[in-house]
Amino acid sequence: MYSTVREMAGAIEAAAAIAAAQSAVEAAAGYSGLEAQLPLLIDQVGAEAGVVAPSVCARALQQARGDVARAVSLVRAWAAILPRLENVCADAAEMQVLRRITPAFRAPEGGQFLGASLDYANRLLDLGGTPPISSQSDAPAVLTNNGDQDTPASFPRAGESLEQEGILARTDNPAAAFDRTRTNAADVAGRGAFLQLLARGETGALTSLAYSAQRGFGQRQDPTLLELRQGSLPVRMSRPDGGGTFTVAWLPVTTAEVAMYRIHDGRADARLTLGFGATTGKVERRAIAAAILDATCARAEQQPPAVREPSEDREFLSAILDGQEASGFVEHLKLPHHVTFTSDLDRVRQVQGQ
Amino acid sequence: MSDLRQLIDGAMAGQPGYNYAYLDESAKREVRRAVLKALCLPGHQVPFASRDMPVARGWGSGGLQVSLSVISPGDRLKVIDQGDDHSMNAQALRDLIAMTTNVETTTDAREASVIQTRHRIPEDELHEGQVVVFQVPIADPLRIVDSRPSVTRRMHAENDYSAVWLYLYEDLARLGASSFSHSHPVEVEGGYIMSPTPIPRHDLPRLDDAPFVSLFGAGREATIYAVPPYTRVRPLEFEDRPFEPERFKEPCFRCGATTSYLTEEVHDGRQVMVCSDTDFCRRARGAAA
Repeated sequence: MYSTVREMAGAIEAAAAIAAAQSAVEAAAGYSGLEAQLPLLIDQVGAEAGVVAPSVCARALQQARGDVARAVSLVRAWAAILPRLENVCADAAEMQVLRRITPAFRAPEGGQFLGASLDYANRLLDLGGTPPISSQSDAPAVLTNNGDQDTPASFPRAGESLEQEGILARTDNPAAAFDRTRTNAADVAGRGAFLQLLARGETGALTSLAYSAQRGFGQRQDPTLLELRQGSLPVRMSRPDGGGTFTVAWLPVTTAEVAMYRIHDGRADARLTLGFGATTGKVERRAIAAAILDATCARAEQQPPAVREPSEDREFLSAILDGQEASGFVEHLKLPHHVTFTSDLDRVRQVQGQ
Repeated sequence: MSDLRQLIDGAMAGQPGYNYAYLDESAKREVRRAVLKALCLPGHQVPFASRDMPVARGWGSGGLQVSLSVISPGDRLKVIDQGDDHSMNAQALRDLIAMTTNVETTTDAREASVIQTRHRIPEDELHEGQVVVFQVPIADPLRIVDSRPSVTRRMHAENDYSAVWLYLYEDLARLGASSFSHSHPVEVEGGYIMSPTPIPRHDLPRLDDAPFVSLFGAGREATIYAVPPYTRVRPLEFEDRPFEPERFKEPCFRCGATTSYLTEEVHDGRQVMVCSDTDFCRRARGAAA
């Protein structure tokens, strides 16, 4: 367990070692090649595709020669024509937590568990010997660095007490589960659809737009990360014979909650705004950025500012955050355009009186 | 679950695992429903759940979904990009459709029953029973006056087109000419204002009272719209400032046609104008020879 980010009994080395050792565990679990060597890249492809299938994502990355956008395209198109057998909701409270930090609270109920992380390890390029990953054979039995303590089966949400106190405003009604890949495009205006978009958003776009809010474009706002969790969510399905439910898969997921404090019209907020973000896999900045954008948009909806900056504008974000739409349209300029360009030239010459 | 396994295995193994016309049947049904609704409400933008396709967004994924949903055995397919059958992307799309449907392909617009096109209507006289599928980059003609779908949807619903008329008026007052080059908006059967996709102004009169079916598919923007046969399609214009197509001062350098849409090309170091419809031009040259 760690409380604030202070080096205690080798926690930093332990966290980095666990992160490295995870590769070995994954190798033991049958992962090989890219899945073992570049797990976070595979996670990114899976998250942007909205498909948890590491071996498929690895295959796509290889076929795309490392182009993430193209790999995502391959995975999405592959998944698009598979039948949807069932839609189920996974309960975030059921997460089997491997890592939980609460930057907003020094010692939250349930404690903090640093888990696997390279966050505090220094970033010196290792120029010697073999690459530092997937070379370790002796994986630790349990992937926690909590000393003698096992990770509890569940944690209360760190922000719960603030909600009860009335200091933290829930965004709006709980978002309804949503599948924008199978829903009429006109009906994707709700928060559930927006959260799904954020979960599948392009990693760089999510990061820079969230950063724009932090950087002051928008009302002055100060997000605090209440809680970040990483772990596995059970996906449960009902038995066809009505004999209860069974677990079909464990989904690797990262979730983030932020609270945003704002000053607007020269006055401080009476309440903080909650933002929630989630992504499959372990690319944590995706979940944090999504939570920031959920909060900025929720706030702008409750108290519309005179001018909405991009990070506050759900309609704008809905149009631009999907990496496939953006990369596809930017690159379509490589297609021939001489027919339309001739028409443009005709107009310019006409206006010039030629 | 075994069905799912088989499908995945088949799909991973190659083409035999894919469904006829690539899309699953429920996706086709959805596209067909949107197409039918669009035909009933000419010019109205019908949203649908656009699927991820094996081509990039913005590269014809919408037109492809429409073509794959309306095509059936016995159809003859033509695919063009900028009027050219042998443009790389046209070739790729045609191969994909043909491979997953086994339909015959043709470059002759008169023989084709389904024509998927980017930015052109073939020069040939088209006839009843033909379906022209347009690839659409920007579905909403009001995007130029407001980038928000929530705002423009309301304008369409209320038949409030003052902003786009004002846009045209301001162009004429300031520039002396409309700034619409391609994508000149059209009014469909006196109702909805529609983007004819970036076809040049030259092609717009071809949409009016046309015997063929026009289907417009926007994959990235998840929208389908349509013009049924024999429908009035008029470009926006003022009575005293009529709509003007592009003007060409010379005939086609290759075939000598004077009525076709031309684009620039360099020939022996000299800039010349040639037909953008390559198959029409090829046949015209053959007839002249």
